[in-house]
Amino acid sequence: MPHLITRVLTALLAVAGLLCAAVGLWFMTQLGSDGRATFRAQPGEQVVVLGPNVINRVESPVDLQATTADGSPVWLGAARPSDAESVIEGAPAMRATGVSVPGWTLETATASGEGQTSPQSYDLWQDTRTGTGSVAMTLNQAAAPQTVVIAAAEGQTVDEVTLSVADQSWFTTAVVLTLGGLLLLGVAAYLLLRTLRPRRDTTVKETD
Amino acid sequence: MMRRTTLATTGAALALTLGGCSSIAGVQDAPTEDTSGASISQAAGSVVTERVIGEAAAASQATGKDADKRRQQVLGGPALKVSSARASVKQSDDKGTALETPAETTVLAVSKGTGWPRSILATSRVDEVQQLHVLVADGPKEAYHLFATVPMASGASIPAFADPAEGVAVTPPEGIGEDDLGAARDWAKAVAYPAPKKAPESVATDDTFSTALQTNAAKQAKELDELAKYTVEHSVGMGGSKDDPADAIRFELADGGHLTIAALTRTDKVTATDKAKELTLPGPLAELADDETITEDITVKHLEVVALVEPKDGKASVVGALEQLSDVSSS
Repeated sequence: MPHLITRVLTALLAVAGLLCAAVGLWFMTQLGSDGRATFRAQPGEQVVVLGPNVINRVESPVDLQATTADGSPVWLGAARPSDAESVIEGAPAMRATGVSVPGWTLETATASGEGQTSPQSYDLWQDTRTGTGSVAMTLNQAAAPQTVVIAAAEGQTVDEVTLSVADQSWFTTAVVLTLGGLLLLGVAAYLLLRTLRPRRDTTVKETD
Repeated sequence: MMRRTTLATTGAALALTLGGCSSIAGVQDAPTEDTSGASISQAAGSVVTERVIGEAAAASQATGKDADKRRQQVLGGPALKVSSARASVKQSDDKGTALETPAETTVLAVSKGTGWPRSILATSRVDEVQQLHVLVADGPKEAYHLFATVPMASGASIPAFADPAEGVAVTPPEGIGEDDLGAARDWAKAVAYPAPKKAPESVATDDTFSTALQTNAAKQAKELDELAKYTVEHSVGMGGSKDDPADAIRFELADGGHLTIAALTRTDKVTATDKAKELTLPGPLAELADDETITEDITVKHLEVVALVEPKDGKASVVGALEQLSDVSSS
């Protein structure tokens, strides 16, 4: 019976160790040594909205970049969530709902609405950027929570949005996970060796 | 013994690894929105101020059919009334009321919170004169408009506001009550001519603008001597004698006092006495009145925009003021 428990535990440790080591190693290769995670979306809409549930969930600065296909003008503005909603609400827009791994995608959902909106015409933005073909902004989280609105020129669409965050601790975590997995594999191997080693007979035989 | 060691080792290894697996460093819920901070950031406020003043300066210089419409799009409150008066009244020297685009603006204070209307108080320097600018936005889809611009008196200063990043309490034009204009009313009374028998004690009138008003009025009365009766009245609001509380705004100072920007109307009246058959008007006034002489009276109205500092303790004083001739009527 004790042998059975040891063997089950060994198997569990080996599986957990392998899993952790594989996941840790995969994250290490994906994030790089600076721990940078980059998520992408291809909205294909004129207006894209990224709320605080996407851009304000980490303490690290968030880098945003938006591009249009044919080098048309693109605008990006950050505002208080309530302010941004007051001018975007009801307008057709693509909204970022979260991020997903392992695809590294910025998940989006289309909000239907009527008419055109020109968010750049309002005075409630805390920070704005304008570009031709592409535009970028770094949110340092000091003004969090914020909502970011990206708008292409009328009749044009935002082709790609990338959200990038660098956090050294993520790479460290991936390293720890890998090492932890290797440790578990080591323990599993040790237990396996102990199980396979022939047992010494400890019974003392009486001699005449 | 061996079984216990195995279990302990396995347990420790699992705890260590699972702890590492479950930790996704730094990911948390987004913070909730703070509804009490500054309504607009200092940097964005500065950009908006420069754009609005530039548009307002262009609109105030505009002539032709669409000039009024252009002014109404970017100006409001006292600034619109002053600009409209400037456009409609012929005046040989309008330096001081003409809006100019400053090279740089500095935001002194912005309103606090997420509500509307929102306000920006900024300053700029044009031709060695420090200007105060007040901008107001009525709603999220409304652009800021220039509510008032007041040149500051030489050497005048405004006490500190709270940190612009935090925003300050502002009483917008729609929220101005009778009590908020007490200092402006007292000042209007104090600089009237003839001077009141008992000057209001809540305001000081030793600033350059108040002193000039009193000195000029006394000089004018002395020149007219017994030929005419000369009076000067100041009333809060730009609707003539009727007070118009919508033409004022108040920003709270760090010490609990206020900076009040209020619009007033100054009415100068010259009434010929029986000793005068007719009065000859000075050149510029004759041009405005479209008459060289008067036989009965002449009334001259000026729009005034006054910046009053009301400290928590002590007398209120004028730190900036602007006058624009608005109307002349004679008989």
